[in-house]
This record gives sequence, C-alpha cells and structure tokens, in this order.
Amino acid sequence: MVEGEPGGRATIAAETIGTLSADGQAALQGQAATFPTAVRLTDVDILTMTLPLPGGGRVTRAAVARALARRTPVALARLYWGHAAGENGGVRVAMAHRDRVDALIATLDEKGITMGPVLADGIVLVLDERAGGRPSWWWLLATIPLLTGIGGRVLTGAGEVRIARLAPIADARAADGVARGRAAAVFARPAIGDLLARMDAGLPPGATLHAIGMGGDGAVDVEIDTEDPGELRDALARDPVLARLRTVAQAAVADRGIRMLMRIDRP
Amino acid sequence: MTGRVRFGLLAALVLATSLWGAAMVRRLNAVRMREAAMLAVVRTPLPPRSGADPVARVRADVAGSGVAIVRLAAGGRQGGVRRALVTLAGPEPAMRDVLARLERGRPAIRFAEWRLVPEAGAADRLRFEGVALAWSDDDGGGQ
Repeated sequence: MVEGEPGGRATIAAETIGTLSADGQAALQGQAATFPTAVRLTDVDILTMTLPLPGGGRVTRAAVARALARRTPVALARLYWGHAAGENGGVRVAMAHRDRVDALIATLDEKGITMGPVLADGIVLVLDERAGGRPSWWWLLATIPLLTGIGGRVLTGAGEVRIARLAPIADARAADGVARGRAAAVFARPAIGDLLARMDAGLPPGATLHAIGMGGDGAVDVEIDTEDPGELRDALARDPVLARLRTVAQAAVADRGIRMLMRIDRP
Repeated sequence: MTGRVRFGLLAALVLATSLWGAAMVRRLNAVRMREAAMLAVVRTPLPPRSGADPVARVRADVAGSGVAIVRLAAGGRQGGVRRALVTLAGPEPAMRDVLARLERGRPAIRFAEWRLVPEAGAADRLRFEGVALAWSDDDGGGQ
C-alpha cells in the first residue's frame, strides 16, 4: 500500500513492497527524484521499548546505545534502531533486525525506487553501515596494498638516492679490483729469463731467435730465423711450452733464410 | 547502481591496488638487491697498495751492468701496484743478465708488456721495451 500526500513524500508499507503494482512502482520511481520513498515497517518486524536513562542526563545516541545494549534480545550490532523522547523522562526505542531491513532495501533498489527513511512505530531507524552500502572491509582490502605500494615507492626512492651516492665509489672499487686482478695475472706469467732459456734449449742448430715479446693479454710472439721451418717445428715440439707455438706468418729474409713469426696465445 | 556493479567496481579497485602495491614491492626488492651488491663492494676492505718502486729497482739493477737506460719513467698505478715504462739497450749477455736479475730480486718485478728486439744498426746489441710492475712481499702480495 502506498500512502502519501500529493506532491509530498510517499510512504510504503513493508509488507506491500513485494506485491507493488506496476503503476505504483512507476509512480514511486517518478517521485523518487524529489522525495525518496519512506518505508514503514509492520509491527511484526519491530520491537519497541521505553528505557529510563540513568541520571536524567543528555539524551545522546551513544547514551541510549549503552542502555539499550543491556536490554536487547540480540546483539545490538545485528539491529537497526532509532529513538525518540518518551514519557516520564524515558526514551522510546524502536528496533528491527538488520537482515529484514536490508532485504527490503535491496528489493527497492531492484525496482529502481530511491529509498528514504525507514519508520518503525513512528521512529526513524538509523541505518548505519547498511549491508547494501560499501562495507568497510572492502576499503580495508584496498587500503592495505595501497599503503604497501606507497611505502614501497617511498623506500624505493630513498634506496635509489643511496644507490646514486654509492655508484661512483662502487664503480671505482670495482675498476680497482679488475686492475688488481690484471696485475696479479702479470705476476703469474712466465719470466722473461725462463722464456729465453727455453728458446735457447729448444731451437735447433742453424735457427736464431730474432725477436721475442709479450702482449698485454699475455700472448708470446717470437720471430725465429731458420733455413728449415720443418726442422724448427719438430725441434720446438719437444718442449711442452714451445710446442704450443703456432705459425702466424713467414717470410724470406736475405742472408737469414726464412723468418717465422710464431705465437703462443696463453703461455 | 546495482549491487553487482558496485561489487565489480570494488573488486577491481582492490585488484588494481594489489597489483600496484605488488609492483612497488617488486621494484623495492630490486633496488634493495642493487644497493646490497654495491655495499658489499664498497665495504670490502681495500687491498694493500704496494709501496715498491720499480723505477728505483730498475735503476739500481742496471747500474754498472753495461746496459744503458734509454727511458725510465713512472707510469702510475695499476690495481695498487706501481708501474714504470722502461727502455733499455745493450749487449745481449748483459741484457739477459739484467732482465734475470730484475725478475729474481726483491721487490718482485714483472713486465706486463715487453719486447726484446735487435737494436737497429747494431747487430750485437738488443733493445728492450716494457712496462714494469713492482710488488713487495711486505705488502702481502706478489709471486
């Protein structure tokens, strides 16, 4: 049943919401922009009581809630309730089960009717934290990763500043380490005297060492003058180090036979 | 707005913020790893720097050997080890003797790059060019 004044707020009884006619629904939808529809709960959905407030102090919702919490048959968190001034300084309280009211609200939502106050025995119920609204735990779910992300971003920025400060020092230390490694590798190479002694012992008669050297990478280059390259290679093959000499080039040299340019890549 | 649409929007919001938060944490972890690697390098104790002087060593060993110093100059440091640019010229026996002495004595000398060739215009003389590195056993390194 839809009640109301022409041009004023419409009130719909809770028990008629489910059986609302198409005309009534259209009328309420049209009126909703100006006056949201109030819902009047029936007596079976409501529990009313009158509470005496101790001390006769100010009637606040918090004070009524404290007094009501000791009197309600179910937990106060499962009820919507409202209060109004009662007789003899008491407070008249009306309450309804949240599940019942939420179901009515959902039905109105589905019918596209904007809902106004919920009336219980003439008292407006306060619909705090309605089930149809945005539940706080959803916001909590969004807030946790949001704060994590913000914290991560702030800490990342701070870390990047520290890295920018450390980078020149770390690069210099790393370069120093590489240079030190190269220097240590130089001390691990064979000495010049050792190489010359090997060449003296390994060269066949008639072959002479023209030049010898070592590059920065440790490769040994030798230039040997010989009349017979085959004999030279055979002779060098007898020494385990000189056997690794490979011929890079060879050329005829006046009065000296053939000059062999040979190399050991890693002595 | 129907309940389903509202649920979808909230779920999308939660999912988006979760993904963004995860991306930020992943980025933070990468930065932390880079910082830790840099700190490990920076906090590594500095290796000892050799005080051995290759210039003095070469000058001392060449003196009176019959080998002439064509060029002898300090070449800075390589990894905490002092370098010297050396060019010597002299008869082959004396040159071999000087090189053997340089590499045997203390502080230890090794040549990073070197070349021993006949000197132009003098068949019995050799020319040696090299970059000498010196390392003292007192510095905790060397071979």
